[in-house]
Amino acid sequence: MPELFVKDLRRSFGKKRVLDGVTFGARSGECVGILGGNGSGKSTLLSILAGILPAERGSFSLTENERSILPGYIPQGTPLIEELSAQDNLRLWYDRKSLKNELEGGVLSLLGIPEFLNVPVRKMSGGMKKRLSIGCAVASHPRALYMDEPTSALDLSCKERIYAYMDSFLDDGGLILLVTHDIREIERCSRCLLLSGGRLMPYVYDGDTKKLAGLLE
Amino acid sequence: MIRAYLNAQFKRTAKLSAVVLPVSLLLFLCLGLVAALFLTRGPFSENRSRYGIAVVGNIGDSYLGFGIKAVQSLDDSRFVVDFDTMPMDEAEKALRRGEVAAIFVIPDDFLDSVLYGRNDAKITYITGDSQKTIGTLLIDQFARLASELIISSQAAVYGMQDLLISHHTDGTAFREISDKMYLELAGLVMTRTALTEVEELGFSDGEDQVSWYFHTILLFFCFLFGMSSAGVFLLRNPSLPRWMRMRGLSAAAQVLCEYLVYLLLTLLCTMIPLWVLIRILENLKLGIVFPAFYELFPALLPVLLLTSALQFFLYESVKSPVAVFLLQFFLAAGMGYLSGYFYPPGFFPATLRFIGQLLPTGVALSYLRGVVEDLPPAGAAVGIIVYAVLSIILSVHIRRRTIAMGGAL
Repeated sequence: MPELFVKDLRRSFGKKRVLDGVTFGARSGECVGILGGNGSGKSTLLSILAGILPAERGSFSLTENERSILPGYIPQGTPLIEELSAQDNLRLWYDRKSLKNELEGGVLSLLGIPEFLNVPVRKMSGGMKKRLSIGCAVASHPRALYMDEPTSALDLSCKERIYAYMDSFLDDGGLILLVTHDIREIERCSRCLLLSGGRLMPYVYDGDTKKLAGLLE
Repeated sequence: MIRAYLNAQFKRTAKLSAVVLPVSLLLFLCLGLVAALFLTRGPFSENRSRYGIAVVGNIGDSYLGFGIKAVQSLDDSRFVVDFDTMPMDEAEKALRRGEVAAIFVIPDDFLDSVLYGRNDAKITYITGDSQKTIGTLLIDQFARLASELIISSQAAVYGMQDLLISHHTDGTAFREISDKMYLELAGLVMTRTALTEVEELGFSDGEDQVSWYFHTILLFFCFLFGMSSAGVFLLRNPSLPRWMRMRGLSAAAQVLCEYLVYLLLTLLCTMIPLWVLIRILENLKLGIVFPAFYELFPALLPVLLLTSALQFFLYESVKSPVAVFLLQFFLAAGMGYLSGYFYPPGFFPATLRFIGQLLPTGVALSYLRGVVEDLPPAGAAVGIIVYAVLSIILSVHIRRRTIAMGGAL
């Protein structure tokens, strides 16, 4: 079962300290929501945990059965090459055999990707691109997913497909860190953490959106 | 992973080349045809290299008229002058407009001064400050030579006439001696061209001007090529490098894969238009001998290695389309200017000439000419490798920074 431990992370950009002593943990089956205002450091935190950005101080580990594992990271941008089709893009992430398997009944099928497999990315809708991006990010069958606003600007149908995939991922014992501003997603989280002034603190959403908005300012 | 990424980049670039190739072909043809017209009908053609001289003053006299006609009609060297008589104010306007290179002002008593051997009336030669170039110097030299030759000879003829008169030479003998001297003078003037010889060492460093400009215009296009293939860079997904890094593909591997594919696109989109251009120019029969394609191809390969590496670095560093277009144009034009792409480097001071040779444009020109002219291009080849490798290393460094610090997350 995957387990994440984060201890005393610190990161600055110039003179601005974005993360200052961030400490928390997460375990299998949990969807941990990370909330915060714009520029509060949510994406920076995920980038550090995904191994893209170095931390100035602190440590973190993602393990399963005491062995270190790599997460799947879904940033706000997409990894897609606009000139190529969905299939050509997926070939960057899957070998031929696993691509076939995933399209026929695996995660790519669950995300509805076979519907637009031969469509060039530049002709895809935002929802198709986001689903394809998730399909790329989970190619290595990660046991932990770090998702940065995965459903922003998508229609309800696309969101439902992505939520269905997230539920299935959690049911299989996965772990999700979810950066979001969406109340519906906050409600889906097992628990939430609020990032403010570089520090992370537990937050329980009680249905008061105005209060939450005040905290995010 | 490298193979998959390379494969994806190949496919992407192949799709983009459907746009890049026709645009390059069009640009190449426009540039080539303009250059060909410039070289065959522009200021470098034979007829346009004549220097116009405005003559002000009395040239109705038969001696003076004869001298000027002789100069105008007999000089068959490339630095022929065209004399055009006009009033002073018109001549000044023509000089300011650049229609003439100089004005010869012949004073009214010039002929008397010559006839009586005084030589105190001088032809004034007027030129603009901005025209003190090799052409001005040649005209100056030429005018001095012509006037000394004619005036001194005529002074000698009239001096001899005075001598004959003072010795009471009879009329018949006087006329015979005078006629003989005039014939000698005419013979001297007629054969004046034999007194000077113009030896052409070449336009610059032994190369004729058509060949020089063919090479420099070709190279200028190569340095500007990224502008027609800008879509390859500007349509890139800025998030992809970070995703690829997560997938385990290092910044260096990404840059090398992308550069390799871009290099192939550059080769394709330069060589095909070049081949077409040479075929068209040959068929136009412009009277210019262009280098054979099979000679240019191997010579251009290392040059394209350099230009594509520089362009890759430029587009990796600057993401704004307008900024990168302007930067590329001004860099290519500025470096090309210093390296003699638009003027022969002999016009520049030694320090600038040295800098121009060290710049990528100078190195590329030295290499191309070295191969085509069978000169040793080893130094330039080293320069090409250094610049190309340096560009790629810097691109990798910028890609690492992009992955670590910037770009859409």
